[in-house]
Amino acid sequence: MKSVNKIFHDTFLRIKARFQLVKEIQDEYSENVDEIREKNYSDDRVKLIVQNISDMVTLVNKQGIIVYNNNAVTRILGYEPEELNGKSMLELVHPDDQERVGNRFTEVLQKEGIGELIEFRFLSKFGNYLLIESVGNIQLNNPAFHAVILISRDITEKRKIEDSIKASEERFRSLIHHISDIITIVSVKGEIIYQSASARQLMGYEENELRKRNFAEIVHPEDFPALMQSFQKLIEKGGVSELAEFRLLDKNGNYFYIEAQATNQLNNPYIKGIVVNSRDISIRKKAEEERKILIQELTKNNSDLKQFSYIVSHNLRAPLTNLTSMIKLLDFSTVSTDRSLKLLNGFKSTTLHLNDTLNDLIEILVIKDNTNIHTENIYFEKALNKIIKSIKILFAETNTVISSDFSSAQFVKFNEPYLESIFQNLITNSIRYRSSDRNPEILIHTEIQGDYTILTYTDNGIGFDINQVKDKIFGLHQKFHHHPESRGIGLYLIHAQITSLGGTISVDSEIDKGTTFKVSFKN
Amino acid sequence: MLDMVMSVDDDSMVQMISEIIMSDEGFCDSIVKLEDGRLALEYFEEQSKLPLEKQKIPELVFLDINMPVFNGWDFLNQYDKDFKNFHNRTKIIVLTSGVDPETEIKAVEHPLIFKYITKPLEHKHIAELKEDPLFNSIANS
Repeated sequence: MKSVNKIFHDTFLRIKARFQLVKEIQDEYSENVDEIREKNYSDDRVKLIVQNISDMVTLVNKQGIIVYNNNAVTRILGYEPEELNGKSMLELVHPDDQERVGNRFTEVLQKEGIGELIEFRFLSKFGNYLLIESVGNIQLNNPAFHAVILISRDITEKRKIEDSIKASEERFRSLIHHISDIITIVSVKGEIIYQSASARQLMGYEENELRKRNFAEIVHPEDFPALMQSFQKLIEKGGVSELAEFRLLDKNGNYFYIEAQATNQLNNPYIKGIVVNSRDISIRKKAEEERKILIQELTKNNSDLKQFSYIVSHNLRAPLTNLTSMIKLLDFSTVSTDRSLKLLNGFKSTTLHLNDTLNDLIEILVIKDNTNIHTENIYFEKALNKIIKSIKILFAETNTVISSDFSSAQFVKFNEPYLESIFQNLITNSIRYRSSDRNPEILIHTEIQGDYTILTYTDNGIGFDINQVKDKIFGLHQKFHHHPESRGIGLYLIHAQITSLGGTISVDSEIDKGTTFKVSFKN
Repeated sequence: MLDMVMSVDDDSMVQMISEIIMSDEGFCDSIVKLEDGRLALEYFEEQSKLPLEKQKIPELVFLDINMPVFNGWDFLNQYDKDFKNFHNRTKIIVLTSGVDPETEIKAVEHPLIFKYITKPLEHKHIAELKEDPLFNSIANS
């Protein structure tokens, strides 16, 4: 906009200057006509000036025939000054412009003095048309001329530049017009100077309805203080503001969320304001809000469930504890029939199995709930020996052999009962799922890899098809064997214990070859 | 041997088991079985009205925590306030299922609780108590 004004202004100044020139020439000729006639040198001087000024000066008689051209015609159109004398001016005008120029000429013949600026295309000596801007001074009745004085200049280049400026301006305007972001320019006082068309679409206001209003009027009062603070900071410090989220009032009186970033362009002479780039984020905000509610609901559900599982496990625990006590107190030697003894033995093993399952479940609940687990440096050797000792009868019965190598990483910062639980579960699994063709062999070794201590545990048991169970193996109640003692909890339990302390466990297995577990402890 | 043990638990099976174990161990002469904290308080209330020589105050109370209506903590709060004169005559042992780790922490820190035992009560618990000099010093006083 600025540049277009400037062009108009420049043009105006030029035309004004040219009128001045025409007037001077005319004055020189008319006022001092007698003197000029008497003093030839004076005539020569004027002629010299006219011949050598950069604008084209052309005299055309009332028939439209060119009678004089100054030297500038050579530079601009390529003709020798005398070459055009006697030619019809109109014939050299572009056919499309002839009618307009002809009409104007006929029109001005009735008048006296300076006419209006006209543009037309004029044929150059080289056969192309140049865009000429021309102003006429009608001096047909002046005995010194009996002609129309035309002062012209080539504006082809200038027009090209103007057009390209206009085009680029149009491009930017339409760009701003069509983007979905709102561009707002506000003054240092917060007054809205300009707002892009997208604002109208989004907020429902009429064009320019918000102009001259202060942005304070449309910002939500709760968001205003923080916004004002960053606005002041931006004015003082310049540059670009932080991305801010706030609510704006739309035409219907509803607030909606936008996200905005502002740039200080107060020192830019073409803007002189704060440019605010903003976009509607109400959809995102709504989604965030919904997510927040969802999280609240989930948190509540989760804590309800936790409560529920505590109650359930407690209510199961109490009668089960009684059952196990009773079985321990029961003197089997006093049972007189084989049938009753068999039943009571069944009752005993079932109860003990149920008790173990429940203990595992309660253990898991405690792990899942406890975010603050005591850790210290635990020696692998010590934890392993403790477990081997506790199940040494099982080892002897099954001829199980364990070889371990903890020389590369002797200890790890972990929870002692957890590490024992890991060994206990892995070893009892290996023995439970041993191959009937060979004695169970277990290899354990540790090493340090970057930030992790890796424990690799391998057995030579019956293994399983890893492709079938990969994602499920550490899940709850995933049993992969029809083994009567399998409770489907052991691996879930150690997975929970390891991950609760930032570690990971992975498994690989091959049917009838064995299974390998890799536990990574985070250091 | 103790004169009297009180067992406060809403689970009659627990009562039965505790009774058998204590009897196996020859731990006490008599057992008062009550099924919640309210009844236990009422017992102490009754006794406090009697002249000192007629009072039958248990030397030991096995107290369950998780009971309906009036739980173990409710009992302890009230007992702490109303029956201070019984405090040095009676030891309280919390006997509970031990599912909630918070309960154990709270129980261990509680000044009125002598011991925390996870159910089930076993012979070894009673045997340990019999060997515990701190327990005996009070039980025999």
